[in-house]
Amino acid sequence: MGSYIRKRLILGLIVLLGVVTITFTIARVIPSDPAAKWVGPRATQEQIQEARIELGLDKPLIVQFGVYLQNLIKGDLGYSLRTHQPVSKELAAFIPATLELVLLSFLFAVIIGVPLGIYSAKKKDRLLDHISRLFSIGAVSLPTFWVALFFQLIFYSRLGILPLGGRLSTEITVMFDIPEITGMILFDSAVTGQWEIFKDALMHMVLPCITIALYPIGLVARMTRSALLEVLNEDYITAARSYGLKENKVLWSYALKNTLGPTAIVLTLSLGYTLVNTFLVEAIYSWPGLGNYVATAVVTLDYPAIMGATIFSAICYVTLNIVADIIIALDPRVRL
Amino acid sequence: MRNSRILSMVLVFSLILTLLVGCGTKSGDANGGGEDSKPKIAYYAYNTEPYIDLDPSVEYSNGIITLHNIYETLTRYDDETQKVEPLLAESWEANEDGTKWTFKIRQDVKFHDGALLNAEAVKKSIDRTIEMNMGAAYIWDAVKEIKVVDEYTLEFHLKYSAPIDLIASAAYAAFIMSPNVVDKDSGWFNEGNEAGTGPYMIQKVTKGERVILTRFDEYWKGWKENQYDRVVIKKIGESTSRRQLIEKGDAQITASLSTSDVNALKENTNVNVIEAPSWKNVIGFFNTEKAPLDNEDFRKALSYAFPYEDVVENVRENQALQSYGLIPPGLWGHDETLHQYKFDLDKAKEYLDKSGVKLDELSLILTFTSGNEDHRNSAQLYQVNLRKLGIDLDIREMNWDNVWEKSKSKNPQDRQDILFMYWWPDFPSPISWLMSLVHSEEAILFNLSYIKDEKLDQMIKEGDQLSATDRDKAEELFVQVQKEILERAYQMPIYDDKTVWVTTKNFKGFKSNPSYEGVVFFYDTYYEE
Repeated sequence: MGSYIRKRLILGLIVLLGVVTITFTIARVIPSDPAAKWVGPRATQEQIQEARIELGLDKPLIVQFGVYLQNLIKGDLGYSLRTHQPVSKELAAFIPATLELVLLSFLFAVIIGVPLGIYSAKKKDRLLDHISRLFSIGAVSLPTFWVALFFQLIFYSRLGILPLGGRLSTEITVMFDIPEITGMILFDSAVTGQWEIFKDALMHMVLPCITIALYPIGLVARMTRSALLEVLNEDYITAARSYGLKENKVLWSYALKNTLGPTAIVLTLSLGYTLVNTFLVEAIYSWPGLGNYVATAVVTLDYPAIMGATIFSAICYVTLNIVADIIIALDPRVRL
Repeated sequence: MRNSRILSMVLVFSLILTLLVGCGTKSGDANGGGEDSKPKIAYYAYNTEPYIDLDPSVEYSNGIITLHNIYETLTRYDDETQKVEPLLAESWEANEDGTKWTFKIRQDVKFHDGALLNAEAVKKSIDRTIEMNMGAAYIWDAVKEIKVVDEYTLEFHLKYSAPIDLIASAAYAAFIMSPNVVDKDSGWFNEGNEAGTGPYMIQKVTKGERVILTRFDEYWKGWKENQYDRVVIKKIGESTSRRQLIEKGDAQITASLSTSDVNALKENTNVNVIEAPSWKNVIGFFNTEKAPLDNEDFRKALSYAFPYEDVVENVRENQALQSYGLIPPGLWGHDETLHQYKFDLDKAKEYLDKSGVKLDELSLILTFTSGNEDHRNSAQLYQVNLRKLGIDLDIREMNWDNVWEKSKSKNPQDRQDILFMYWWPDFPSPISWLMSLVHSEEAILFNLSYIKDEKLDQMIKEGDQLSATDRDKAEELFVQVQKEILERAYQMPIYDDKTVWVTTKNFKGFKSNPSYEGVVFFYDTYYEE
């Protein structure tokens, strides 16, 4: 087990190094002058040259890469060309909003997706199964931006029961001192007992979370269903049934346990997927998270910011993959 | 047993959520109404982040929408009178050759940190901006020295004649800050600290998302009933979202909506749609250093082949006006007697024949910044018309960096033939267009028609100097320069954009000022039932 995890970790590090190398190369190859961008549009040639030296862009590419790697190990991702602020500081400001959104969506995916899959399997080929499958397919295939706009139109414009976007309503942000512990408003307000803020934040999360969760819900429901159906056809289930055990006992105590592995893997990977795919949802719901930050960075060719966000995403993906691998490894059959 | 427990948990969770949703009623209802005890809040739904840098010496972007409510400048430009009006300066005068300007500073003005405004504070603020030399600090290039004459009198000694009254009213880099904060670095300002004299102070800033301002009770102009106590400027990226916020009355003002959203809102009796002039205009730059565009008649043919009316009516859906020269309406130097090229394919053909340019497989490259739908649609319409003349137009939509990089290629042959670009000024003077886009350059920056015309250079320089001492004479010269540009067809002024604002009916007092793009001076606005 130990050597298995070690191997996975080393592999993960190699992947990360590859991502850093590729993003660094692309950032340097694209036709753009970071020094000119740093000093602004009205800068003189002298100012641009000074900036080139200040940013270390006058050094050979390999030296620049070495410096970048060295700084990266220290957690220094350089400075944003657009805002002149440290990228790591900016990422730290934007990540909690995304993380909060993704974690709650993940929760939705678990509490809706898993039961949906189970009941679908249990009621195979019956109406509930068909409805559930239709929902799963729809959830996976509906375009996110369409769903987001549709939700806004219905729940904000027509019904007026949920906010349009943002993390908090204007009145709350003006009237209350928003606690800042982790940057995740839901958690921070709960910890400090500011329930008015908690309620407002939760209201603002409903629509974006459901929009983000739709895909993993569909995926998890389909995965749970098919895994469960496979297990339900196993001999030991037939044996359990022949012993006269109740169907619920068979399902929940014997069958489900053996489907948790694949479901957990899908959940883990879908967490990674949602973490780096919130761009559209954040844009439509005016959510000040990582997606919004990256979108602006891409449009303005702010390559240190793009690289910082890419490396963060890669770390998340690699970590979640390792977690998925560990989950697989928990099954003794894998180690045989 | 266990499955029913899980089921119950799911049900309980759903119930909590439903209750929360049910209790929520309408959230974000931050309008100016409400009970007396509640502060009056004005909410500006803005299309992008409300600031990039909060340092008033540095910010050279949309952050002015926030900063102009916190800091003030010595003067302010009024686009209706086309005159500079006093703000922190009560009066000013220049010597005969415009190289020495004396400003009388307003008394009894307090900074947010309690310091009093005086000549020393103004000197320190502008000196800081000049020394930092970032953002739009170049506007102060003419300044040799700022001298404090007495407590409330200040002298600008210049290296050359310059219109300091106009420069002091600039949208960027002309803010006055407390002498107590001039030694602070940008980091201090970006943490949400400030010390201006403006009507509002920062209550809280959230990078990339919103700014909350609260009124400064000791503001020197005083406060009246129904003015807003708080201002929220928030990034709402999507046009449809901004539209919905205005429709529901949750936001009081917004702009930069898509034309379809604007058209829909025009039908809505609960909102005001205000079409105001902007100083943003679109110009087509011909590469005068590359054949066949080095041929004046050929450039004229291209100018007559552009479908101006079609673009204004159908692409911009009348949210723009065809330009008269380079200078937009509302700014001195704008002249509607200037020649306007009209779409006329016969005339274009005539000039094409006159040019003698052979059209065998002639293909021209047109570049513009990617993502600009209006540029794309205009280019496509232009392409159709040029094809009728036998000219192929190769439309290349690229990131601005790549557009600019290509336009600066050492070899003129590697550059584009035509480039579409927006332009707007940093301070209210035609010089921003003429010096940047027309005057010859040693290293290519923004003169992307690559004009090298000594006569024009001379007129621009002379006009620039006269703008400090004899603005009428300067205006005559600037009009003359534009006339020459049109006659030689160096550039193709296409349209002057309008800014379309949408406000709720109860949001009163708002006046758009194109000199300060996107800025809402919230002090002038108030709530009315």
